[in-house]
Amino acid sequence: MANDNLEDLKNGKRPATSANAEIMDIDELIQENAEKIRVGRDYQAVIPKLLVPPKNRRERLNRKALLVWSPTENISEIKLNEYILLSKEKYGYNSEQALGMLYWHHHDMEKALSDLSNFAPLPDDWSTDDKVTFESAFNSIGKNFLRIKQMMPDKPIASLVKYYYLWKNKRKKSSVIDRQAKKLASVRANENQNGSREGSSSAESEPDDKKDPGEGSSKQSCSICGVFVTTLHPTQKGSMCGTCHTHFRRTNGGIRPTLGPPRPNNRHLNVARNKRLPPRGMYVNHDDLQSIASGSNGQGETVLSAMDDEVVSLKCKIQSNKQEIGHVHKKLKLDVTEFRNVEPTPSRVISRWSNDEVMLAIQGMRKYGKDFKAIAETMGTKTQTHLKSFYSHYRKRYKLDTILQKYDAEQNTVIIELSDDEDEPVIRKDEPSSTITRQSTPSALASGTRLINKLTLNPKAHQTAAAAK
Amino acid sequence: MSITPFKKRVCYYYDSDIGNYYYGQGHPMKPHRIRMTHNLLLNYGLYRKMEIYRPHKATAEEMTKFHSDEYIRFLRSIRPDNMNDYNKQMQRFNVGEDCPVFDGLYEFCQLSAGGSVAAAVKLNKQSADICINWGGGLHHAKKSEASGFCYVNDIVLGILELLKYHQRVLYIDIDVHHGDGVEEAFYTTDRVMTVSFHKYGEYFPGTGDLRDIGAGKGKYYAVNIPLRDGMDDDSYESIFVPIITKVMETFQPSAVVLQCGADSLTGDRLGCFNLTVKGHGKCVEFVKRYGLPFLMVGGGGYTIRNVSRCWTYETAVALGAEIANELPYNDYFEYFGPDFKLHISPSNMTNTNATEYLEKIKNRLFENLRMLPHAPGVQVQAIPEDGVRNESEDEDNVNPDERNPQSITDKRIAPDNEFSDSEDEGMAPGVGGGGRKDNRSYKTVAPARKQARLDSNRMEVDEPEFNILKDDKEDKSVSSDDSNKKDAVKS
Repeated sequence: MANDNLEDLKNGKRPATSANAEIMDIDELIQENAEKIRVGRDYQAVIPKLLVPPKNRRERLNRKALLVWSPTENISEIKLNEYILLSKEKYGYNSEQALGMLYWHHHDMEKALSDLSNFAPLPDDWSTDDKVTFESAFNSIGKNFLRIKQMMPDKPIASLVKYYYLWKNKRKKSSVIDRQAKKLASVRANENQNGSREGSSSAESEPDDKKDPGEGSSKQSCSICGVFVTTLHPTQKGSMCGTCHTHFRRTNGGIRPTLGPPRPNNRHLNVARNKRLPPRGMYVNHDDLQSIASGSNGQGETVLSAMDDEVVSLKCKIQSNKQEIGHVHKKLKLDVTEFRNVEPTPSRVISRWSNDEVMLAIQGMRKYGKDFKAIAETMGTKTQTHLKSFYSHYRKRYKLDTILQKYDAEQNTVIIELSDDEDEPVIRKDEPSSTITRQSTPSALASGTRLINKLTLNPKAHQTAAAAK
Repeated sequence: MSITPFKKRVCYYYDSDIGNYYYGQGHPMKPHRIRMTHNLLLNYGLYRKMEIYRPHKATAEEMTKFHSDEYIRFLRSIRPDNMNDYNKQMQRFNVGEDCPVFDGLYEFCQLSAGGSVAAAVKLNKQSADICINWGGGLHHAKKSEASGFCYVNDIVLGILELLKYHQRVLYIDIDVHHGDGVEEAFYTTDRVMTVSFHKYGEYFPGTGDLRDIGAGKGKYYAVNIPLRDGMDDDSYESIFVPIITKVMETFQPSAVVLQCGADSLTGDRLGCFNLTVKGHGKCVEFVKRYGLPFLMVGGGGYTIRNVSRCWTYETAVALGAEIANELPYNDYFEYFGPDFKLHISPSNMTNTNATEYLEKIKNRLFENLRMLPHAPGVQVQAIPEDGVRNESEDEDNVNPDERNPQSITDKRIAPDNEFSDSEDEGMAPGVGGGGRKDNRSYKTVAPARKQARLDSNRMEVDEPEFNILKDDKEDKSVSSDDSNKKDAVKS
């Protein structure tokens, strides 16, 4: 329903002007009864007179809008990040609040740090009960926050909306209702009370029937779902884990279905169950799950929230790493094209070797070793494969191997020298050969950047050094 | 025009409450997108590069600088639980259907308008180069009528503020819908040129014909670019750049307001263009290059993940900062799946805007622009300097108590007066504000204002010292007299 109605909302309110929309010529743009801008004192704004700008431009804006952060040069990005991280982990500030605190102390990091503890933000005031109520209300009412509010009178609508948007996309993964139902179910199982109907449906969907291959011998396997646990409940149908036992009691002796219709030997179910197993390298400990679900005083909650935090910080890390990679990629591309522009556009690639080219190739090997790609790029007239075959054909004739040895020997010294003086190796490697001078600058640069990539030095410094030549 | 490569001082207006307003089930307008944008800005590290302001709530008095008193009074009093008492007025003010009554409606309008007005004041004081208010941009609102999800026209209010110190203000609208509210407000003046690029033909709001060019003194000062479905980046640029170039040349504004409605992006729930975030951002980039005082406001945009992408990118453009295509992790990260990238790719929809069509429009508009006298003049009002300095009407109108409730609702930090403290402290150090403040608030009590309205005609002959406090009211009545005359002449 939604979309059609929305179109109406925006389009249909003022009736459409002309039936045939296929107008391509301007003169046909004339639409007879088109909406017009109305003119008259009821419609136009009253234009203020132009004033002479005031001479004193004293900042008097503070009462209009409240400045909560202004950028500063004095604090490095890294320090700022550290500060934000600290205030987040220690006191639960979000980065906006942390920066607000810093600004409030006029960018004085010390003062802000010492004051952090005095203004620690209130923890999330949504209890699990609230979340459950919200979810059930949402499921029955939908996005009518006015009516949800009637069910949760202590929450302002603003808070409901805020929670809704945070919860919206995560609900598929961890439904609070399901979690709560599970918790209730295990509490009941532990206390050995005869439970109500409430948890029975969720018990079937519980994902905790995972195998734990790494566990020791003290644990026994449940005869129904095959999970390893420490405590088993003996029944006439074999010993069962807590979950299966609960189900057994509730259904008056029914066996808990693990997945699909129960089969006598659930080993055959392995293929289907694999889909529900956690990724490789990750194991779910049944006892942990139980302690999370049944732990008293929100013990499980804290464990879970700590894990959530960890996941979030890891995700942050992943995204920032991705950004870093993207940045490096971009820079690399940019740099390479920069150097390419310096080069004369490569002439035609011919497989025949001229004398000059032979000289170039040998010089290239002296410079790049067996990096045929780099040599090919420098020469422009030969491809990488050409050079490879050149190497295998003329290896003996031009004593290419000795050249390579020299290259290897030099390579080590060059790297060390480069870290001392960036200018040095460029000069040194520019062998006095008339044939190569034309390409010397780009090739030197190219080799330089390669080395620099190894050393992770600042390529800019090197560029300027080379450019000075 | 000169191209200024300097880093811009960027101010950003945002209230953390704005994302909590909810138009209603199934309604496409979601203020939450502003919070999503904000969250992205924080996590991209752009937040710390700007001055961040929390806007005040615009007072009724500020809003009635454009809107009618009745309309604002109505907005202030209507609530979901007393809607039924207002049936008649709701019809009259067009509130109810696509402009529903929702919880906190008036506050929402206050925040959105407060941001744009404060931003305009900031630009007037020349203490910022670019101001951004993504909560604003509600360009359909009329003087006494809500329209197209907009109730209070923050743009008009902002422009009116700019007009105090700027002879000519240029308004550009890249929302997919026609910026009818702003155009209407300034249809008869030559001090504001409105330029709107929009889908035209069987589309809301139905106005924005190529031949609508303004009226009276404002003839040729409204520029409409009617477009068809499927505008892509290249076509958009091919029409945006030459027209804005020409407009800048002929109109020579001293300040620019850009409405960055993001419903012109590809895949919008209501829009029908095919722009990418990059193409949309290019408009911002282009306007920014003129180096004029620049106010950027939000607007439409109904596929909220793309809206927040777009406005985040445009904030980066304003800052001249480069940001990675990979989105940083944020509170609403899941919304941006499956690719979690900043930039979006266009769809394969056909562009029904032929090159010749765009060319024809362009030429027709160029003809109109040629009719403009070069850089129209406006006499500067000879107001004694003392008067101006004392005048500061914006501050007079602010009730010092007005903002406190806002910080109370903001419960994130335990002692909730923390920010209000800083407010007091930041206020005019060493001006000896205390006594003066009292004075002012004493003078702005209601009876004084009423008097001003009654005596407004007499006011003109009074010595300026005396007018100052009542300046706005006086302005209004005087100029509306003018427009009366104008109407009379026309008829």
